[in-house]
Amino acid sequence: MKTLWRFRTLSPLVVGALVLALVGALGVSQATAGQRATGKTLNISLDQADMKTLDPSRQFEFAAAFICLNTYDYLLKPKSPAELTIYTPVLATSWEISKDGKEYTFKLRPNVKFASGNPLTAEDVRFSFTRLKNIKGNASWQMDPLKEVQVVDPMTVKMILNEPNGDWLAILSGQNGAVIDSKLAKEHGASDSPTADKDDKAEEWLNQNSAGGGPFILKGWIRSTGITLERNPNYWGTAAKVAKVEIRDVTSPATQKLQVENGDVDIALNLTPDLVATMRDNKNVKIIPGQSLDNMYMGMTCNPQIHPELAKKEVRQAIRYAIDYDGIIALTNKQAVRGPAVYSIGILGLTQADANRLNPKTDVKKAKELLAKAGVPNGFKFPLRYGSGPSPVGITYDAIAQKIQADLKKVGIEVELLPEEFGAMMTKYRAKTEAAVISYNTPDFLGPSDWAGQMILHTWAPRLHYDSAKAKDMANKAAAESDPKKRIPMYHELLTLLVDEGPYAMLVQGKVQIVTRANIQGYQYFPLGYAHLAPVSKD
Amino acid sequence: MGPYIARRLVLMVVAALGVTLISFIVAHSVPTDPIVSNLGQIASQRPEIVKAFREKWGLDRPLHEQYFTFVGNLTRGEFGTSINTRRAITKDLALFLPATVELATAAVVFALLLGLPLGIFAAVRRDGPIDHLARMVSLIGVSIPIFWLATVSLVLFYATLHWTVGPGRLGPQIERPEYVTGLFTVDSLLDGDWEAFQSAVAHLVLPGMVLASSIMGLITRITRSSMLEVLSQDYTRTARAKGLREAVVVARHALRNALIPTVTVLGLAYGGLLSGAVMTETIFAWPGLGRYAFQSVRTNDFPAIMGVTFVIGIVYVVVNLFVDLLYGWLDPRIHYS
Repeated sequence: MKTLWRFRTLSPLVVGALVLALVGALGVSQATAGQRATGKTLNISLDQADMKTLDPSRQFEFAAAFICLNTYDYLLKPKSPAELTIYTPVLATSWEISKDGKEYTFKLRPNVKFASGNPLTAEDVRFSFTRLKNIKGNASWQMDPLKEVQVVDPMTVKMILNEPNGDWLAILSGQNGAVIDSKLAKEHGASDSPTADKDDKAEEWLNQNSAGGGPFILKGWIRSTGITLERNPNYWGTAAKVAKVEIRDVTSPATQKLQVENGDVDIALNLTPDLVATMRDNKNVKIIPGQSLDNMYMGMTCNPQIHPELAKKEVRQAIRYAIDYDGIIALTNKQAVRGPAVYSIGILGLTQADANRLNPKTDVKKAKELLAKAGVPNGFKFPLRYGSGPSPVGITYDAIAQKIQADLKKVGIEVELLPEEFGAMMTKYRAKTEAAVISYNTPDFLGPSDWAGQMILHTWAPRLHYDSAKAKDMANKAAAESDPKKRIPMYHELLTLLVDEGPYAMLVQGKVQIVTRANIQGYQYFPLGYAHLAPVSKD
Repeated sequence: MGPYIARRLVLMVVAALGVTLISFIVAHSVPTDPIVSNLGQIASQRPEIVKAFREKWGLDRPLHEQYFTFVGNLTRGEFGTSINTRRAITKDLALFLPATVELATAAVVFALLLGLPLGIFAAVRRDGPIDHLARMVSLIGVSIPIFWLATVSLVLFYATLHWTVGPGRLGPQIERPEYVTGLFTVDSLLDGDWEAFQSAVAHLVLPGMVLASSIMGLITRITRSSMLEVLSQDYTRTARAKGLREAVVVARHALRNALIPTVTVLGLAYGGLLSGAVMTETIFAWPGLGRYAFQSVRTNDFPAIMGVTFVIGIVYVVVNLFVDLLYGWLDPRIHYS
C-alpha cells in the first residue's frame, strides 16, 4: 500500500506538468497577440553584451552610446552621417575659437530645461566636462587637452585647452560629450572634484535614470533583459515621435532576424551581412544601409629582432601590393569598402575616390619585384595572429586570414595562421611581441587625429615598433590645426607616407545594415550610437 | 538522518569554497589582462586611469589578499561588486539565478515527462518498435547540438508556424511581476496576474523543450537499462509469480528501484543546466546565469566569476544532497549514517 502511495505521488507531477504545458499553449496565442499590438512603442533588438554602464561620462561601449545619444543632449553634433566633421548647434547656439586655437567659447541656448525641469546653465557644462576628466574612467583621456572650463556668465562657457586641438569639437560632439543636469546628478552623488574617481557615487543611479535633456528619458535598465526609454515632455526641440522605446537585449543576430521578420520588434540593430542578404525580398522589412567607421587592418612589425624580413620597408610594401583587396570585400558579401590607411571614409571630407587614389592597388608583379629588392625573392615565412570569431565587418577573422594566406602564397610568402581567443590575442599584441596581427580600429571620436594618433603616435604604432619621426611630426601638426581646409592636405600627405613606409595593410572598412519593419519611418544610421530616435515614427 | 544532513551541509560550504579557490586560480592563470577587456585601447595606456581602475577593483593587491577579501565578503553574505555590471553580485544573482532555475526546472519537467515513460516502455517492450523509437529519440536528443536545435526550433515553431512565442521571458507588453522569488511563473501568480503567468509559461515552452532534449535522451537510456535490470530480478519474478498484472509489476515493484540511476543523472544534469545553458540562453535572449557567467569570464570579472561558481557549487551540492536523500525514499534498504 505504501509503495502504491509513493508511486502515486509521481502522478501530481505529471498532471501538474501537463497543466503547465496547457497553460503555456493557451498563453501562446494571447502573448503573440500582445506582442503584435505594439501601438506607439518602438521595439528594438540590440546586443547589449558590451554594456557596462549608462553613466554618460563612464560609458564607452557601442550599446551605451546609443542610449546616451538619445537621453542626453550635446553642445553640438555632426551635421549628417555624410558630413561628420561639420557641426550644427544643439545646446550651444554658437561658438568662437581663439586665434591660437586654445580657447573655445560657447553661447548656450536660452530657455532649455533638462527632463527634470532644471534650467540649463553654463555650470552644467563646466560640471559635465570637469567630471568626465576627474573620474579617471575609461573615457576620461578625451579630456586630456582640457586645462579648465570657465563659467563666463550663466549662458556662456569657455573651455581652455593646454594645446591647440583641431578635433576638440569632434570630441565634444562624441559619445561622452553629454551635458549633465548637474543639480540632479549631485543630488545622487555625482562629483566633479579633483578626487572624483573616489568621491563620485552617482553611477548606480545613472544606470537606472538619466540626468539629461535629450528627447528621451531613461526609465530603467534590467541587465540582460532590456532598457526602457520614454519621451521627454520637457524637451526643448521637436518632441520624439514615439512615446516609448523598449530596447531588448538580444545577443544572437539570428534571433534578432526572426524577431524583426515576425514583427515582434520594429528595428534589429545587429544583423550580420549573411542574414540581411536573405531578407532582401521580404516586403515587410526595410534595409537601411550605413557606413561604419570601423577599419580592419593587418599590422606588421617594424622590429627586425621580432621578424627581420617584415621589418624591411620593401617587404611591407610588397605585402600591401600582394593582397587581393577586392577578394576580401567579396568575402563580406560586398558589405565593406576599401578604407585607406589612417582614418575612415566619411571623416574630414575623405571620399571613396580619395581612398582609391591613395591606396595601393593589387599588383602581384610589383610585389615580387619589391621582394627581390628586399633580398627575399623566394619569399619567407611569418606568423599571423588574430582573434577567433566574428569581426566587426561581419565575417570571421579566420576567413580574412585564410584569404591573406592564399594571396601571399602567390608571391612566395608563407603565412602561419595563429587564431586565438580575442582577449588573449590582444594581450600578446599589447606586449609588443607579435610579428603580424589582424586587428581593427573603432573610432573613439569622429576626428582624424583619433585614427592618426593610434596608428602613428600611440596605441598601435608602439606595438608594431613603428617609430617614424617624420610621421609623428606630421601627425602632431595635423592634430593641432583647427582649419579643416588646411588639415585635409596634411592628412592626405600623411596617408601617402603611411602607404609607403607604415606597418599597416588596410583591409576593409565595414558597412552597416539596419533592418526595420516597413512601417518605420525616419530611421537614419549614425556611426557613433546607431541612430537619433526622436525623428523615428511608426505608422 | 539529521546529523547526516548537517554534516553534508557543512561539507557543502567547504566544497563550494574549494570550487571557488580552483576557479580563482584558473581565472588568474588565463593569459589575459582584465585591463584589456575592461578599458579601451587608449585608456589602457594612461597610467592614472589604469591605476584608478586597479585600485577601484582591488586588482593592485596581492592575489592571496584578493581571495581572502572574497572569503571575508562571503562571511557577511556578500560576493563583492561585479567589474562588469558595477553593482553588487548578490543583486545580479538575484536577477539571473531565478531565470535559470525556472528554465532548468521546466527543462527537467519536460525531460521527465517524455523520457521516463519512453524509457519504461522501451524496457517493457524490449526490442519492439517503442524500444527502437526510444533509442532513436535518445540518440538524436543527445547528439544534436543545442545551438542548432535552438535556432531551428525558433525558425520552425516561432517564425514559420507561429505556434510559440518569441525569445525572452515575457511578452513585450506584459508588465514584469513584482519581484518576490524572481521566478516569473510564481511571482505572477502571487501578483494575481494571470496574463503574466500565461506569458511566462508560454515563454518557457520552447527553450525548456530545447534544453530538455539532451537530458531526455539520457533519462530514456538510463531508465531503460535500469528497468531491464530490475525486471530480471528475483523479486520481480516473484511478483509476476503471484499473478500480478504486468502493469502493476512494472509500476509498483520495478519502477521505484529502477529510478535510482535516473535520479542520479537528473541531479547531475540539473546542476549542469544552471551554468551550461549559455547557448540556449543566448539564442532565446534569456537573462540567465549562463550568460552572466560567460560574460564574466569574457571580461575577466573575477568577483562575478567567484560569485557564480560559489552559488553553482552550492546548488550542485544541494541538488545532490536531495538526490541522496531521495535514494532512501526510493529504496528503504539505504540508511544514512
